[in-house]
Amino acid sequence: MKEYTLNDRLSRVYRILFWIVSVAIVAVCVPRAWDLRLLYTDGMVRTQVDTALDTLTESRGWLLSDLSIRAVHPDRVRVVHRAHVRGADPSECIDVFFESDRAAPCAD
Amino acid sequence: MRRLISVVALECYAVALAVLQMSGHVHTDEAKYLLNVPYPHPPLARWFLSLFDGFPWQELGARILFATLAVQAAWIVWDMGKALPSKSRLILCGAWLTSFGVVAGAGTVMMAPLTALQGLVFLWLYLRDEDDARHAGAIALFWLASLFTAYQAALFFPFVIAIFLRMKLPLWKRMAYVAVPLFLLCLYTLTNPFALASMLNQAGKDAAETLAQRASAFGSIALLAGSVVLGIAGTWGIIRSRQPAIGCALLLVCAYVFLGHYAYYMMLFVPFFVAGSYFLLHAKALPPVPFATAFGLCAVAVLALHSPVNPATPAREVMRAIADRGPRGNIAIVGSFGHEWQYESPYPVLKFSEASLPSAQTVVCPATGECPVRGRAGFSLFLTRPEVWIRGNADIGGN
Repeated sequence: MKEYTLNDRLSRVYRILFWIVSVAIVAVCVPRAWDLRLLYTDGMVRTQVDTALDTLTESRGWLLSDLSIRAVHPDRVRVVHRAHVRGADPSECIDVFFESDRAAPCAD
Repeated sequence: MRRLISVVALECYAVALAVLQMSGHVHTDEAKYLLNVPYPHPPLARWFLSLFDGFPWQELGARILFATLAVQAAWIVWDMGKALPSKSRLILCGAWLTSFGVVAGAGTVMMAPLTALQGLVFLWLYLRDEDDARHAGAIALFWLASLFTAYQAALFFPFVIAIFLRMKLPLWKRMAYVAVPLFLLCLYTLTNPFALASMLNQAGKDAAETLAQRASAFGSIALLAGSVVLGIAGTWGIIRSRQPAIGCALLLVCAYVFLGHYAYYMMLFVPFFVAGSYFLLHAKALPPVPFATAFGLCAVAVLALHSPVNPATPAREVMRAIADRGPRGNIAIVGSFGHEWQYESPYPVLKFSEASLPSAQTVVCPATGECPVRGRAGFSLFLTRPEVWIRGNADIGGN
């Protein structure tokens, strides 16, 4: 029977770890990318998102870099505002509707 | 014992480099990473830094950590030069430690020095010229971690290809170890549209520059990186060595710096210059003592002519004055400003607009010129340079 050295075991651990990390990244990123698909496939929605974010940042004095886009729907964009400060960052989730530029806290 | 003394001496040098950068205050990009602002780079390093967000020593701690990695990397250079006599190895390590690129980059909380170190590790793995099949998983993890630290790690793609190509593994495994991390990076980028937008924005930023302007900026970065002498020797050594992977990776780095010529990319060149100088020393095409003398003189001259520290903005002084004597509440800043204002601020920072004004207690006008609240009822002058206005009455700081 083949005897495994510590180096063999370590190299096996690294190989397994690489695949676990890769699968975890896919599991996290695919649903998020799917939620943003309209941003990449629909030029009209992309323009509406751009306008909605401009309006939101202008009206609240927020920095664009404090926003992250979570989901894009045909009628609205969902963003999370995280004020980057030292210590815990206060954050809130907001839906911005394209038609009215109305911003409301996320419903779900 | 001798090794321990060397480690301690190197650590003292690392702390000195970190403290040197502390005097320049936080740079806008450093603030971005310290606050974990989610662009332009992938999240690994900035997420790690954000674990210490809120600690008063976060900046110093991060600087010491980054400087320690850069300075203790001299051991990799030492191992890289194991075919050389001790004197030449020492010269190579000294060149790494004192080249302007490392002196200016080591104590900064930027992604470029980390990428440079990752480049040094890939170079070292490549030059070992061994079948690393046993370490395939570890190298693939390191490749993945490098890409998720900063996009520019992709510039070392030629090394990664060369390292995996010589492994005695099935072809599909070698391809997977090279390509899967790149695929994952693309996938991550799709989830962060601001990173994509920021890259496109950067790409078009200097579009109006002429070729000569770009070449001049690129030339000064590349020359300064190796304190002139190391750069010349290193480039000559790489050309002479005819190593395709090193040549390709260096060309990619050159193209990248040519397009976006920021001084903080300097350190990306240093691993290449060290490797090129190693080739020359190994081939006895470069006499070690004259090389060390010329390099030492040039390194001192470059340091005398160029400060390795970024110029400070008034953000720290202004925000400290507001924290000490100003009102509590949101701070609105007029015009465009860097993330260092956000990092130094004791309160949330807003972009000034008429709509954001009602929720602001303090208004900062960093640029000289028109300040929209000047003379407005309900606001009084708090500081004069730059102008800072607060609600209610103020003792004028007059800095």
